[in-house]
Amino acid sequence: MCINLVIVDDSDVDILIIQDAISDLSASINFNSFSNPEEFLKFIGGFHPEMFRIEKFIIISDINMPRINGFEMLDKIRARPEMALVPVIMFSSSSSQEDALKSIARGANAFLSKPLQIEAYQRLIRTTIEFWTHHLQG
Amino acid sequence: MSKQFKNIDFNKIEEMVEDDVDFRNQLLDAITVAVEELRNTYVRGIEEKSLPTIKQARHKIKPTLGLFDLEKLAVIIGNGKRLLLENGFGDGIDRHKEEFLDAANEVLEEVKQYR
Repeated sequence: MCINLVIVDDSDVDILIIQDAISDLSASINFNSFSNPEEFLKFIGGFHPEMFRIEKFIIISDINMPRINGFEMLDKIRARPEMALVPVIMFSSSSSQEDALKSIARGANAFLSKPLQIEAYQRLIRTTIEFWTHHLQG
Repeated sequence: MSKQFKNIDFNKIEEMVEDDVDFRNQLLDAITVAVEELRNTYVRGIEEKSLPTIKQARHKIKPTLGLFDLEKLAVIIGNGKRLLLENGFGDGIDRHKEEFLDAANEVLEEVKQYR
């Protein structure tokens, strides 16, 4: 089963590091990146609700983005009943407990703080995706 | 790789790209864009005396600074954080702005030379 991995982050550096991290995963992953939430919401806006039952998605999103931030995007995702069970992981430079609690309260499945070492950053991404892939295939 | 570069650790980039020239160029482009955005937003924050703008700029660049060891720029931004906490936009802010601009431009110049 192919997993649709969606990254929403306005930093191209982060998108490239994540893309590189997943390149050696054995799971079949269809990688999609969006540099702002508006683009992503427009992308899924045209999907038939049934799409989220047929296809499997994992969404990893930054929080601090201009115009619509990650929290607001999360609200819009969870407002769609067909996306209630799509795993959404908030991935931020922030390490504040407030951001972590706000993420979970709004329906994120996890909050992860971006590590500042490449190896740790990529390992965290790989283990997170492996965990949720296993969960979705379960 | 030569260690003539003092503002960014290109060994980290080489370890990641593993001789993939396209990926190296994409990464260097992305770092350039990130530092240019930082420079513009941070300086705008100082000129407009906007702490939220400066905080946003600091927050956005944090992974890039750490992942690729942009140490000098990170130290200057850290000094700026302390300066703003202690003096606000008063004494020393103009000098800090110049130091910050020099450090950001040095990173951009090194990336350009490295290509």
